[in-house]
Amino acid sequence: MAQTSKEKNFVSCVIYLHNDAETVKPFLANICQVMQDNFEKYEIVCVNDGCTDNTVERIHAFLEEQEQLKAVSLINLSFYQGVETAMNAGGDLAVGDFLFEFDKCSLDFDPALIMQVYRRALEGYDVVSAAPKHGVALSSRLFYALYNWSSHFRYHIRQERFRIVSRRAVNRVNQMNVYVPYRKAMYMNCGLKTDTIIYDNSAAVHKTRNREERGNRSGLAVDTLIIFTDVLEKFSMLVSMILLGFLIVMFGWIIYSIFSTVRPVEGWLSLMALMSFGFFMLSVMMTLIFKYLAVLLNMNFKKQRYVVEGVEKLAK
Amino acid sequence: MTRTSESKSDKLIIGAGLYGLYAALYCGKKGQKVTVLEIEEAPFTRATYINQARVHMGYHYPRSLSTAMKSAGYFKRFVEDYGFCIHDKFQQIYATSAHFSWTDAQEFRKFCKSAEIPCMDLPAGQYFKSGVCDGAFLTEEYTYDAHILRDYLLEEIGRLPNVELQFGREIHRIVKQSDCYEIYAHYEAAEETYRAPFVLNATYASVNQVLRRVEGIETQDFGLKYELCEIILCKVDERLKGIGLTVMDGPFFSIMPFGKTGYHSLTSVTFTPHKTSYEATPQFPCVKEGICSDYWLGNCNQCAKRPESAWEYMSALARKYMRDDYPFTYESSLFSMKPILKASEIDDSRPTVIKRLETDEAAPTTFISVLSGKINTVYDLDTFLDERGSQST
Repeated sequence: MAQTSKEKNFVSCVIYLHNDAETVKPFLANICQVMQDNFEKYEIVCVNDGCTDNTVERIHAFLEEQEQLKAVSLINLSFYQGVETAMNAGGDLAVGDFLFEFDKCSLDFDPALIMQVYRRALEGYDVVSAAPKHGVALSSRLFYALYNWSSHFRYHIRQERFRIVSRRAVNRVNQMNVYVPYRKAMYMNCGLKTDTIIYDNSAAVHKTRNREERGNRSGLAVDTLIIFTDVLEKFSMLVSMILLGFLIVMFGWIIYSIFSTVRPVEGWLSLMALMSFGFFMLSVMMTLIFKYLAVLLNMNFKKQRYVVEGVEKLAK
Repeated sequence: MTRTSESKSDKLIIGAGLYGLYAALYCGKKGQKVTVLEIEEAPFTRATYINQARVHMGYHYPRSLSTAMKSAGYFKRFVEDYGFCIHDKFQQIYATSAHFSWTDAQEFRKFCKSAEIPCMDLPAGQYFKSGVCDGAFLTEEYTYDAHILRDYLLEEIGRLPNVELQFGREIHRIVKQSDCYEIYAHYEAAEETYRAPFVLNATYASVNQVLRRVEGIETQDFGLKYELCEIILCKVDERLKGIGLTVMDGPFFSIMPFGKTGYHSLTSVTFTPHKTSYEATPQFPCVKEGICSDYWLGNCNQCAKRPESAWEYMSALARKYMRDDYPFTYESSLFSMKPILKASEIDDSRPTVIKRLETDEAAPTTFISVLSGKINTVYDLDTFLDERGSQST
C-alpha cells in the first residue's frame, strides 16, 4: 500500500493478555503489520492481566526485533482481575480517535478483517464488532440467549473477538457510568449506531479457557443479567406466582377441611411443610435483593476500577 | 598552527545556562574576576530555554512534600527578583486524572494544604471532558520567558568588566593543581588555558561528562539517566490563551503559556521523552550521525537527526482530556537533553544536588557541580558561591 493512502486517524489497539506466551508474538506481529501498513499513527496498549508465564518476556523479545514500532505501552495489573477490568484499564490509557479492543490474544481471523471492521466504522458506526461464527461455548450461547430475550435494547449481543470503538462512544459510556462491568453491553446500549461483522473461523476453532476465567465469566454473566436485563424481576415474579399458587391451594385446603368431617392432626405437618417452603422462597428473594443491592453499590461507589502495578513504555 | 592563550580568574564557570550566568553575575557583583566557558555560541540555548518554562510553586510534586515546600519558598523570591520576565496573567489549572493517577482530588487538596500553597476547587467539566478528571484546581504558578531573562542577565553582566563570557569553548581537560584548577579548551584553532581556584560545573546534561574530564582528584558520577525531550509549541486561540492546564500525576500532559512568547507549550510524561539513556553519560544512537562532537553533545534542537515530532501522540492525549472548545495547533518543536536523578523516580522529587570534589573544607581549591531541574532553586548556589568569595576579594 502506498504511503500516501494511509489512514490519518490515530488508532489505539488494546490487547488483553493472560498467559498467552504461545500466541502473543504472532498476534502482535500481525496486528502491528496491519497498523503499519494502514495507519500513519497508532499505538499499542498491552494489558498484562497477571500473567504467570513468560508472556511479558515474549513481548519484550518481539519489540527487540521491531525497528519501526512507534508507541507500545504495557499495563501490568497487580494481579489477575479478569478481561473486563483489564480492558477498562487499557481503554483508559489509550489516546486514539478509535480504539481496537482485542479481548483475546488469538488469531482465528484473517488480519484483513481488522481493516474491514475499521472501514465499517467509518461508514458511521460507532461500535463495530467482529464475531466468530463457530466455537461459541454452550454456556455462552445460553447466556446470550437469556440476555437478548430479557433486555429491551436495540442491539443484541453475541460473542465477539474484537471490536472498534470510536472515541465518541468511549466518552459516552464513561459519561453514563462510573463503573463499567461489561463493556459489550455498555457499547451496545450507549445509543450510538453499532454493527457486527461475523467471520468464519471454522478453520481455527479451539476452546482454551482456564478455570479461573470461567469462574470470573460466570460471575460477570450474573452481574450483567442483573444490571442490563429484567431477568431478575421476571424471576422474582415467577417465585411470587408460585408462592401465590401455594397460598391458593392452602386456602382451598383450609376451606375443604372446614366442611369436611375429617379433622386430622396430620394437618399440622402439611402446614409446617408449607410454611418452611414459604420461608425458603422468601430467603431466595432476599438473596436476590442483596445481590441487586451489591451491584447497585458497585455502580455508584466503587471508584477504583482496577489495581495497576505500573505502566511501562516499551517503544517509541 | 595553534595559538595558545592563558587566563587566570577567581572563578571559572562551565555552562552559560541560568545557573552559570546567575553565578557569574552573583560573583561578578562582588568584584570577583569570573570567566564563563560555554560550548555553544550563545547563552541559554539548551535546557534553560527548552523546558516548560514553569516557575514552580511545588504543585508538581504531590509525592514529595520537601520538594514542594522548597519550590514554594523560592517561588516568591524568584518572582520578586525577576518579575520582568514572568508571565502571570493566566489561570494555571491543575487537574487530577480520574484514572492512572498516583494522586486524586482529595489527596491533592490535602497536599496543597500541607505545603501551604493556594489551591481552589474549580468545576473540572469546564475544561475537561466528562469523567476524565476527578478534580480541577486554580493554582498560583507562573511561566518565565527565557529570552527576556537571558537579555537581562547579559545586560547586567555587560556592565561588569570583571566578568568574561567565552563562547564556543570546547573543554578537553580539567587538571587539579595544588592551588587551582586548569581548564584546557579549544577555541577555533587556538588552545586556551584557564586557571582559577574555584570551578562551578553548571552544565546540566553534561555534568558527568565534565566530571570525567577532571584529572588529579577523584570524581564521582551523578546517578543519572538521560531523556531526549521534546517540547511542542502550539498556537492557541483566545479561550486557551489565558489558561494553563496540567493533568496530574502519571502518564499525562500539560499545555501552558510558554513565557511571554504567546505560544503554549505542550508536553506529556509519556511522549515528551523520545529516547532514554541509562548510562552515566548520555549515550544515544543518533550521536554518531548528528552534530555531536567526539566527546560533547551537540544541541539536539539544532540537529538534523533529532527525532520526529510526537505531536500526533501528544495532541491525541491532550484532546482526550480537554474539551473540544479549546483548540490548539502545531507551531514548532524544541528538543533538549534532560538528565534525571535515578534516586528520584519513586517519590518524583527534584532535589537540587550540589556536590563538591574536595572533601576537605579548608582546601585551597573548590570544584562544585550543580544539578537542578528547576530555575527557581538557583538560589541554592548562594552559600556555595560565598565560600570562596571572601578570600579573593
